[in-house]
Formats: sequence, structure tokens, C-alpha cells
Amino acid sequence: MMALFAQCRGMCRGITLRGACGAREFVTIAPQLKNMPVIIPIGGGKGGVGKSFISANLGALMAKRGHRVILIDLDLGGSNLHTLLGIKSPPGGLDRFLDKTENRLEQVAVPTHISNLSFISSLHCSMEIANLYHAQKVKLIHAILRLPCDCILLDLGAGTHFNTLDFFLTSEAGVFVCTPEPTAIENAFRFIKAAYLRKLKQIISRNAFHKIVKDAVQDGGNQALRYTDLVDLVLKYDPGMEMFLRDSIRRLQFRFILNQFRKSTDSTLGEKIKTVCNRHFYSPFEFLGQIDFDERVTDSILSKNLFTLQYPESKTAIDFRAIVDQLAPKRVASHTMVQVR
Amino acid sequence: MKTFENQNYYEILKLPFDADAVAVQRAYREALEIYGENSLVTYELFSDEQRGDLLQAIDEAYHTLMDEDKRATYNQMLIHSGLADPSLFARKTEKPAAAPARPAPVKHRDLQAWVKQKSKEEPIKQLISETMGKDLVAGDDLKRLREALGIEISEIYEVTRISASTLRNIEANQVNNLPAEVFLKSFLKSLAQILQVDPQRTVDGYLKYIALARRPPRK
Ligand SMILES: Nc1ncnc2c1ncn2[C@@H]1O[C@H](COP(=O)(O)OP(=O)(O)O)[C@@H](O)[C@H]1O
Ligand SMILES: [Mg+2]
Repeated sequence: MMALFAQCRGMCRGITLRGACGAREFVTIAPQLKNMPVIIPIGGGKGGVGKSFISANLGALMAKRGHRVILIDLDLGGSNLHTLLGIKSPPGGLDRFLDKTENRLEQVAVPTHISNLSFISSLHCSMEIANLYHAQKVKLIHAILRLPCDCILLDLGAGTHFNTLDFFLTSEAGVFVCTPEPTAIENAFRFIKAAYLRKLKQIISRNAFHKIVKDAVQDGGNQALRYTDLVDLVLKYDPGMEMFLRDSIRRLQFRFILNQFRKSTDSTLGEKIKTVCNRHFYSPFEFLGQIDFDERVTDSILSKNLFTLQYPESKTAIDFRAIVDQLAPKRVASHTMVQVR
Repeated sequence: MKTFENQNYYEILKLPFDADAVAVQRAYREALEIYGENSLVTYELFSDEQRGDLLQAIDEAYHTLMDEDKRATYNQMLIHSGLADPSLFARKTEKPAAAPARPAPVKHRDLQAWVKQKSKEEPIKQLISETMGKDLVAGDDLKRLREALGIEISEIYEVTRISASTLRNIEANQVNNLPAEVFLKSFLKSLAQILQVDPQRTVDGYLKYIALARRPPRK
């Protein structure tokens, strides 16, 4: 049993590329190499909760601390990260990489008015995230992993499309954002469950599980298959793999931010959500903190300023810095700024 | 998704074993705030069925831990099943056992030999095959068998450490005061071993019987 276990773990490694495109195709990512950048996907299911606002401000604050940061707008079809960065009409970005005009992803990154902070736009992409081909997605993910910088923030779109989930799962500690409202929390839970299920499927499809379990995962048409069913299937047909499955899913961590916090909000909400999720999911959850709602945010965006730099003393900016303390890569880069075209 | 399935009542309410009534009340209120239908914390996290199960477990935990007698029985069960160390319960968990009917209860080995011997007697042999031949095994059947074999409840307690009140509840079909099913099964097995009857038949028959007894009476 131990031998089988070790063998399965070994099989998780390496890069798998599959030809066809479809929901059942997964992207395998090589284990993080020493000089690979830290990837922080920002997701969360619901639109308007502040994913882009948070990506932009986190990126700026990290760059200010000396990290070479690249922000990537992955909300294809809903791109607006440029607006939050005060860039009125960004030049081509992801589109130029995807249509092969440029070979290297770093060539489509543009500098921002903040040093150390570069940006890749998706404004000119003609497709929505759902229409991204599997091969394009794989190519993009591998290019992201090889970007020459310290930290990459991925601003994800709303929804739980499997392409969005795959970008979220490029990190084993993605961040999701929600606000203290029922609809935002509902969508956040849906997003977590979808990411969790996708990860479970990845683990099963890449390892030596029983054929019945594997077939259940391969069956892309079976939308009703939920993660509880998967665990049940493993228990029933593959009890020897149960511990392996649990150990693997435990390596996927979820971190979250509660945005647009108001005075009336229960100040213990974040900790409570964390505790409940840790109790009911096999994956660990971490609460990064809450960010105050500030009425001046809209004006700040209109005047093309980054809020946390314009109002560094505001509660909102203080909240942001506390989150950066936890998220920023531990080593500070001594190299020069990232090469842009 | 993990549920409360393998958690004991203390774990469900996140309480230490020696928590007092005030702490139990507080923990219950907090659990309802989190798992209640209108809670923002778990909004749409669970299906209706899952939430119903969680709330039911919380309720059972609360009612058991608030009731001195039920709690003592429950604690005894945790100790018996090896799920908790007796030293963790600062409170007294077991009321003094009823004075044994015989001054010196026979030891386990003696009991085993005794039952073996007794079972050879024709009327008892008949009673055993009659009881085990039935689809349903009621608490009364177990009691009748025990008495026919001449064994006291206190003797069973000596061997199994199943509290006397639990044993009495089992024999009296006290459906509302029975331990959780996992424990009940293990107790029934121990009991069957002492009575030297088929443990599986005993467990199945008894569970079937109480399932029927639990149904609301028909007119
Ligand atoms: N902490 C905040 N305080 C005030 N307004 C905020 C805050 N966070 C976000 N907003 C507002 O919410 C709007 C939507 O945020 P955005 O980042 O575009 O959401 P998402 O990317 O999740 O769809 C923004 O235009 C911004 O004005
Ligand atoms: Mg956005």
C-alpha cells in the first residue's frame, strides 16, 4: 500500500498536455521551481465584489515594496483592470500573445505609472473566457509560470467556467473575494465548490484510481456529479485510495478577503466563515482580512488614481497593507525592473 | 464535504468534556447562529438536507449535554468505546452503580463458563433458539434470556462497562434514551457475547425492532 501511495504521488509531477479541448481536459502544472514567480489568482464567483479593485491595489502595494509584479486581466469579455490602473486605452495584450503576434508573454506586458508594476490587458481579446481553446489555455498557463518577475496577480472574471477555475488552480493557495451579502457569499461558496470539485477530478484523473472512479470523472456530460459523490465513489470502489485523495485535496488551500465591509457588518463574519469551511471541507481555509468600504473609491477611479496610494491613511488602505503583509513573496527582489517591450 | 458524522456531542458543540450548563447553552446558541437557515456565514453552503442533518445533530448534542442523566450515560458510553479518557471528565460521570444483588459478582471467565453450562439446559436451549429464530429481537427477549441464565445487570456492567442505566434502557426498549446507533450496535454485540448468542442476529433483530417501535402508533 505504501509503495502504491508513493508511486501515485510521483505521478502527480510533470506536465501533461492533452490535445482535445473540453471540460474534462485538465492542465497539469509542474511543481513550482525555485525561481518561479508566486502566482496569486483573485477569483470569487460574483461580479462587482471588487476582484479587479483588489488586484490593482494589491499589485501596486506589492510593487511599492520592491517586488516585480505583473497584473494580468483574465476577465476576457469583461476586462476593466486597465481602468482601475488609470490606463485609458491599453495597447494589445493577451490577444497579441494568443494570436502569435508575439512569442513571449512578457513582450505584451506594459509598464504602469508605478515602477515595478506591469500589466497585461485582455481588452482586445475577441473571445470570452469560455471560448478559449484548451491548447491556448495550456500555452498561456505555461507562459504565465515562466514570466520573469516575483509575483503575478490574476484578475479573474465572475462565474465558475472551467477555464476560470483552471487559472484559479494555477496556485495551490488562490484567493477569493466576497462581500458580506447573501448573494456574494452564495456565489463564493459555489465558486469554492466548483474549484474543489475540479481539483478532486484532476487528482483522480492523474492518479491510479479504480476504473469506475476514473470513468465517473471522465464523463464530462455528467454535470450532476458533485464532490460528495466522488468521495463516495472512492470510498466504495477504491477505499485504499481514500487517504491519498484526502491528502491531495488537503494541499489545495483557499484564502479569502471580505471586501466592502461596513460598520454594520458583523466583525466576526470572516473568522466564522473560515471556521465553518475548515470544518466541512478537506482543504484548509485562511481568512486574509476585511477591507473597508470607502465612498471615495469611485471618485478615485474616475480621477485615474489608485485608491490606496491616493489615501494611504484611510482604513481601507490600512486593511490592504495588512493583507499585503500576508500575501507578498517573502524575498524582496534585488534585480532590475521586469523587461517590458 | 465533511459532516458531523464521526463527531461526538462535545466535538459538535466544540466543548470540553467538563463544560458546564452555561457553556453548553452558549455553544448551542453559537452553533445555531452559524448553522441556522438564515445565517449569512453558511448561506447556501449546504443543501436543505445537509443543513437539516447538521441542525438535528446540534439539537441532539444540546439536549443530551443539558440533561444530567442522559449526559452521564453518554459519557459512560464514550469511555466504554474508548473515545474518551475517564480522566477528562472532571464531573462525576457515573452514578454509583446499584448495589449488586450478589455480594461478590462472578468474574468474566466464571460468567462465560456459567453461561456455557446453563445454555445446555433444555428449557434455556429452547428459549435461545426461539429468540434467535425471530426476525425481531426486543429488549424483553434479551431480558428474559438474561434472567433465565441467572445473570445480573451489574455483572454485565462489570465485564462490559456498559452503564446499568443503558442496559436497562436497552432491555426496556426505551427508544428515546438509547445511545447513538454506532454505540448501540457495539453494546448489543458485547451483550450477545455474554449471553452467547449470535451477535449479528441480535444487532439486526434489535435494530429492526426499535425501528418499528419508533414509528408513531397507528390508530
Ligand atoms: N472597498 C471598496 N469600497 C468602495 N467601493 C468599492 C470597494 N471595492 C470595490 N468597490 C467598487 O465596486 C466596483 C466593482 O468592483 P470591481 O473590482 O470591478 O469588481 P469585480 O472585479 O469583482 O467585478 C468598483 O467599481 C468599485 O467602485
Ligand atoms: Mg473585474
